[in-house]
Amino acid sequence: MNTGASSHRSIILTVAIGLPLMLALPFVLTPYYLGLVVKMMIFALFAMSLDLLIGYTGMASLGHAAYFGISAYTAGLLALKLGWSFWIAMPAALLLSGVVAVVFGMLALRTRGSYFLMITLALSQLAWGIAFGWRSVTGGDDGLPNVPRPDLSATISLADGTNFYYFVLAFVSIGALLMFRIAASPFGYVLRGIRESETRMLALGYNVWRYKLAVFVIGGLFAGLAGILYVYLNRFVSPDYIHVARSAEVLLMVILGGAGTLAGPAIGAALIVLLENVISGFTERWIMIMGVIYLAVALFAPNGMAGLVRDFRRKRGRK
Amino acid sequence: MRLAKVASALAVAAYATFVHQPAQAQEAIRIGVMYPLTGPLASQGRPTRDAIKMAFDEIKNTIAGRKVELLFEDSAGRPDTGLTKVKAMVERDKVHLLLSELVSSVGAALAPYVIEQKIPWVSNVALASLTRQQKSPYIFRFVPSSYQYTLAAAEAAKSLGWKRAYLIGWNAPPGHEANEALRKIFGADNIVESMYPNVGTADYAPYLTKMEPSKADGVFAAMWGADSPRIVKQYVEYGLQKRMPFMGIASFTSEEVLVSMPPESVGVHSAYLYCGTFDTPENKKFVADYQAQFKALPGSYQYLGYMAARMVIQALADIGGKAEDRDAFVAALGKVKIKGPMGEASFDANRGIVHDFYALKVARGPDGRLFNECGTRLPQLKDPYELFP
Amino acid sequence: MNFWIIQTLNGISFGMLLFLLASGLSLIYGLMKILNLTHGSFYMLGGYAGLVAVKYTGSFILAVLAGCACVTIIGVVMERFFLRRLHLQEMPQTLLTFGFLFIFSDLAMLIWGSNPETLPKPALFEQSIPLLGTFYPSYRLFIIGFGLAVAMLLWWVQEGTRIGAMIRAGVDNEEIARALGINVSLLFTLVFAFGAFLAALGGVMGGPIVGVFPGADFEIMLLGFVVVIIGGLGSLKGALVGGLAVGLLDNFGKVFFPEFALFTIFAPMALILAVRPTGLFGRE
Repeated sequence: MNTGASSHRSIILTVAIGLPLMLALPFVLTPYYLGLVVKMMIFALFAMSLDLLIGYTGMASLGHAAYFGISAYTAGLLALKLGWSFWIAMPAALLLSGVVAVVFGMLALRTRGSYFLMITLALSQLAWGIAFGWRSVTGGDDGLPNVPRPDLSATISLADGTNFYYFVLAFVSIGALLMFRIAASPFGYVLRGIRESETRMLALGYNVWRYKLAVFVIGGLFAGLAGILYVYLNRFVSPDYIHVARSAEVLLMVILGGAGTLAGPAIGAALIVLLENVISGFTERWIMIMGVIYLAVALFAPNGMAGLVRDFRRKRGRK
Repeated sequence: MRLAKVASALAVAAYATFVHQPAQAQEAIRIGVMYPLTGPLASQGRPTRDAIKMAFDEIKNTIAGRKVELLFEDSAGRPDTGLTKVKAMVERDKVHLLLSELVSSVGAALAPYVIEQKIPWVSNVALASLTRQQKSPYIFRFVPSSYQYTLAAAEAAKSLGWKRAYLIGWNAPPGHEANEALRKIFGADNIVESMYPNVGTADYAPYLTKMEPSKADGVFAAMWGADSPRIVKQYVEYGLQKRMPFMGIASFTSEEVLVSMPPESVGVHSAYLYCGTFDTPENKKFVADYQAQFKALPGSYQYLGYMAARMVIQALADIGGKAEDRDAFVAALGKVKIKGPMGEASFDANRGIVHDFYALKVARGPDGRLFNECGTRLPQLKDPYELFP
Repeated sequence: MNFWIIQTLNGISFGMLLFLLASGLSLIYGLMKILNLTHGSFYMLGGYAGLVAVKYTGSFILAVLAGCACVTIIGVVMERFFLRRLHLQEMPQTLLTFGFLFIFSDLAMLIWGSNPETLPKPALFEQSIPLLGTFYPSYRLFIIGFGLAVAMLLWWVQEGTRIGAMIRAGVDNEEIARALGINVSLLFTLVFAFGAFLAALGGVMGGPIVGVFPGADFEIMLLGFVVVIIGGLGSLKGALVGGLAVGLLDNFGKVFFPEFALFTIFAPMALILAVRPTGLFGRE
């Protein structure tokens, strides 16, 4: 079971090449593409957080946008209505999405497989319903516009595109690094064990339920982090952030990239964001093109793009 | 080592695709046209886009000797998608102005960005706040606000003798704002009950069976797209159409949804600024041209798209095609007054549409087709700012 | 009292439509362990095909036949040439059925445009009939009867016929069914196509009430999932009870808590799953 996260050498290599490259991007990209890269990074973080659940623990959630959206609303509301600074608003938003993840997790973890998929969906729809229906607070369908981007200090304003890029890059990198650490830790190996056989792990004396809840909440927290960053990028939040269509989208990103590799879902997310924004400018048939891509990946790379790379490596290794 | 190779190849490819700048000398006037082209709201977005295209084809895509280039995008009716695409059009494609969008949640998300970028934006978003809290010299609302069109429907209902009514409207801003407006105009007690089904509700039976014809003179409906033929169908099904008149608010009976309405919709009222059978040479030509090109009858969405485009064309012509001068453009557009298929159109001081409205009633032609009968004119109706500040 | 009866009838008639949709979904899952995300598309395509038939022939019965035939063929093709290759691979199956959902929704937009459409009702059930001091649409009563008839037919097929026995064997244990000489491969195609058939039937029958429009696929699919999850995956009884439960919850939710219409479906669903993790009649 090669899971990508285990091969330290490739991580070090990727960081060694990737980090300078990412740091240099603001000097080569136009502001628009820089903004698009920010969006790709945020969704990469979001997809990786779901991969902890799907790829490592075998729990496919169709309600992951709930934590993304709840922390987005919290951060937006705190900044907009109470004028809280980022340094307090962000932990508060994370805290709330974490608490909700604990509650939802305790309900959802009684189920498995497709039932888990659907109960997470139902729970996230409840969050969506609150965002949509509680108009006096959330602004209903139109959402909350004019959320300000925070100032980190008196001199560093995130209204500036380059500053904001580095701000997101820092948080996404930290988030990604933490997730890789978690995946490679003993905790991560217990999760893999649960994915392969829950009964075996039970027999070995692990409190499977507690591990599952822990990873569910961890995934929710990282999704929440992505949600906060997304509010600052768009400077508005709307019920669309929580909708099941978004949960489905991020699920597709994970599967497309290759569940259980972290890097795969990150690339899958970046690719989908890129395609959606590039293809639709050329043809109004972009939905069909996306459909065909999903179909092709399902048939010819059933383990996602990361699986394709792995197979390719293995073949070369044999030669 | 392999990874390094891949990474460097990617970097080169990325540089080639992203960093490439459009040529410096911009001859053409570039206009960003983004509407929902996929998803449930495509039924409104696509016709609007087609009509905009038609208006620019009429002038051979040339204004004051300068070529016009339309850039089309799909907002999918989702606010964050719409915002990302508008950013692409403004920052990457360097459009001179936006002629975009009709979905209110997308409009709400775009407004702050448009104001910050100072990019002229002519919208078909019925959001009342665009000409109120979010008003800006750069934002033009070429569609009646929710208060404005509800006022028209209320006036039409009053002249039918309605005193008490039900409201069934979307559980979304347009529905709730219609409720506010009706309660203010009719008196809060005279709206017997307001019900708010969600957008895309499949089954209206529970709401319809709550309505009692003895308690009201009629029913207002504030919902559009796929929902409007569906509720009429079910309203007829429950035998209510014969017992209590039905008034759709705004584009409820617009020609492009009228083809999906059941034959029993005859007699459904509405009040709006377009009427397909309006008898002027300009309208006959508009209908014939659109039909020749797109094989369908134009309705209010097409009309508003077409006229918004013509307003823009006029303003650009007034400033000699110098689209780069944004302030001159928005000043000129604010003053444009043109006569179109339905009479005169202009903007008020807050840059909201001013236009004639007509009381409409669905009728059936000898060929069995439904059409709108054009009734009383409500001349040059403005957004009621004094009623709803 | 009358109010309750009328509202209950409303809920039951909508629930029957949901049952048509959900029974196929449940059957497919039970046998093949596929959560078919294309099921809402089957519903929508059935409705559109029926619409074309009714426009050209004016006959509702032909519309039903045309809608069901088209979608059944699509079902056979999808199973034989695509799903078969990904047997029991959950992730790629999800991706595949999602891909089809996208493709069908765009194809429908390409062929039938973006306007919402509704099917005309069969002439026989055009009228509303006086009932308890008000008027009640006869078509809705017909839907209730039709749904019950389909439910009984399905129950008979499942419990009383050879093919039903084979399906039951396949649901219980695929390997043993194979060992017993049952042509499981053919059975898969049959069941998937039949599930598609039922969804299309729902689409045409629901066409006069719900209509067909872009986005119907996703909306209907969600409702279908709620039904099968409440009832329990793979259980016919569950699809019926779940369909009725969701129909009634939806109806009374709209009557009593109009502001929170969605809550009244999803909150009970979450609650039921939290108490009974495999739905009302599902098995692990």
